[in-house]
Amino acid sequence: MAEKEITKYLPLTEATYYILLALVVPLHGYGVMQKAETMSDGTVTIGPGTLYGAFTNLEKEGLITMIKQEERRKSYALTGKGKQVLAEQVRRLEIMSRNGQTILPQL
Amino acid sequence: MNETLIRKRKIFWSWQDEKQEAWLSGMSREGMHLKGPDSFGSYFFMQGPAREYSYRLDFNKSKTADDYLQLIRDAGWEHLGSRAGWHYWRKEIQDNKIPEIFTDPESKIQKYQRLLASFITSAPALYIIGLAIFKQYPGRHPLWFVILFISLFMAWIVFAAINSIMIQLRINELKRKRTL
Repeated sequence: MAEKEITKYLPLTEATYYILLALVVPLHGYGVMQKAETMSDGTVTIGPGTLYGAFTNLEKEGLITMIKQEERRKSYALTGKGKQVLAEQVRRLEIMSRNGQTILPQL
Repeated sequence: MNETLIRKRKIFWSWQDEKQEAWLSGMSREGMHLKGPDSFGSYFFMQGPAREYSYRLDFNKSKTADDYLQLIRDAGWEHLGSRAGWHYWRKEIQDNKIPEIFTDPESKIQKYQRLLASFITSAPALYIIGLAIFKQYPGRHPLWFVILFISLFMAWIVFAAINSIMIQLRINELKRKRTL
């Protein structure tokens, strides 16, 4: 896939980043909310309205796909494109973090 | 237990959703809990012990989807009803942590963009409906009727324009918050 196809989504918002991280395994909405909160040590809370909108947008962009619907709960998982976007975001965050760590002692 | 419903009238502009939420929270602190929205400009309340509730409004005409309601209910919110595309949600405030449906500016901006779109599309829709009515009965309209119809249409255009401008100002305000 073209580089541009991946980078146009970056940088992801904090909420979107954690939603994609959570969807490395298929999950429904409430599961994503709980997992994001736990993974981020409580620094990121995703409201259900924000999550619903994110699901809609991410599915439209082909970064996630609905894999099953139980009663009224839809479960989603990352697509190949979603994984590529997430991997590139992690790479950039590593660079950002590395730079931050070198500066930190000088503060 | 007092199960009587109390009806209250109060009119808010479409961009005053946060003002409306604050008003509903204030009512609950006085023991008046929203049962649901009624027809335009009125609300049903039920009396009970005072409570700290967070009320949140979402706008989406197509969002009557079951999965939308389920996802928000799963997060502990109570759906009180909907009116003209607005969904009324409520959750109890615990440990001074105010629950939110939208937790970032992006999703709030999208909510107002949906609202804006509904006002912008309303004018052409009304125009097409009006035209269809005229065509149904050609040449049978007294002048006063034509004038009345055009006046109402113009009034709606002004109303929709005021709403659109105010909503756009809310969007701009949120966009400034989005980035440092």
